[in-house]
Amino acid sequence: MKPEDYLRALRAQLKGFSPREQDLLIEEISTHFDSGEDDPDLGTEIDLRRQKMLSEMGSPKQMGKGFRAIHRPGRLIDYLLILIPTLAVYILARFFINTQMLMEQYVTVQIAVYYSIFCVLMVAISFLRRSLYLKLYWILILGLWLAGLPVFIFGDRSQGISFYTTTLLGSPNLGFYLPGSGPWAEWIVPSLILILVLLLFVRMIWHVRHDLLTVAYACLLAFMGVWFFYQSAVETSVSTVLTWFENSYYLYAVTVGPLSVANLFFLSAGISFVSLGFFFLLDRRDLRWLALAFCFCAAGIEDILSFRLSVFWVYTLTTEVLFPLSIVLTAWLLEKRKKVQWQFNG
Amino acid sequence: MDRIQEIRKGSTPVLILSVLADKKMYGYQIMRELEKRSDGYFTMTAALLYPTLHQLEEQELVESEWQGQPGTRRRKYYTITTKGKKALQARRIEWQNFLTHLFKTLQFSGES
Repeated sequence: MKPEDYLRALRAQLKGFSPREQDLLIEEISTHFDSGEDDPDLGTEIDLRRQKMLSEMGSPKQMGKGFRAIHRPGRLIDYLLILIPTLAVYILARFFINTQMLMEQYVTVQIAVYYSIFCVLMVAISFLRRSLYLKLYWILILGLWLAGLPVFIFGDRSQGISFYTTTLLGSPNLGFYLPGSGPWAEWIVPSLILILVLLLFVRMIWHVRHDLLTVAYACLLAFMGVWFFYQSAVETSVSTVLTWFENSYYLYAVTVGPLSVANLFFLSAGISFVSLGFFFLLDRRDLRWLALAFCFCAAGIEDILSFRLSVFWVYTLTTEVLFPLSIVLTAWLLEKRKKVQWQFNG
Repeated sequence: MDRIQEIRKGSTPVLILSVLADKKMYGYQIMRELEKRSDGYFTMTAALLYPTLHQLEEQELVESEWQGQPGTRRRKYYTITTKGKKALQARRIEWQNFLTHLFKTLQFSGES
């Protein structure tokens, strides 16, 4: 084996790393070879030095494994940190939630069990694990919760619920709002929080902008989050806290899987969940792209089947299937054709 | 023998820190310096050295800096941090305690 063969084999072990990261690691090991070749203590002839160097290297597989262990902690744990809290909420909700109960109890349980405990905790854990995928996911969920919080604090729930978020997002539908709660609670604060979350997303993915798979994941999460927040605001049939929550659950079911009691047994939620698992756990990049597409389209496809006799199916097809697919497809094609100019900061 | 290897492997981070306590070095230098100081007893493969260096950097015990221009030949130098110096001191004491008690116990076993 020659040093070039070693470096090639090492690069193959670093597939999960960005090109920039790979280059830096390879450069460091390459300079190790250079230093050895220049070292007279290793022998008088260059071939002898190279042989000595190679015998001291250890295998590329072992080195790659070492780097992966440090820089790429297992994604299985990341996935479990989405899966387990989500299922735990469902299980807890089964104990506490009874649709016959008063609405107030329903809301209180959700706030106490899920948002106030799991959500904040999960954001903290995501930061501790330094996992970008996990951070993006839980920050979005926390952001959506915070955006809706003013309504719960100031809103007159007996009158029904909706948001002026629609104004910001371009819809003239102002007819459904919370009487007495004022614009701050209804749209200014929620909108600012959503914008903040989006800006945070941009900041977080800026450093990994060369990794289009991660960028696509972040875009789809952000889009789905804001879109369904918006959808819950314009949906004219949304008239109670309960149904608003159900719509929120729908959002989560679309983005990751069965957060909703109602959605748990739906095929789409299961597909979303399993797809997300493939996205997190597989090493083959093409399959990860495919899993990402499935994850974000499954609920839309199911909706189309549900709405096939209604005019909604075109709307659903566009927003919940074609749009996510177009994001995935565009990013995948860009990556395949290497049209992206990698921008390294040196 | 395997156990000794395990102990040697486990001591890699503290050995690297001790070498870096004197001056900043690049990976190859660290490897050779360790060999020199231990009369060839502590040898390690690059496959162990570099991931360990990166781990120490993640733990903020060392910091690194590329020297030289991109595109030309440059090297990544590692320097021990203040946190790294404190960790080294603490680990020295740990190892000293361990060895003292190990020898004491071994000596006692030998006499009986």
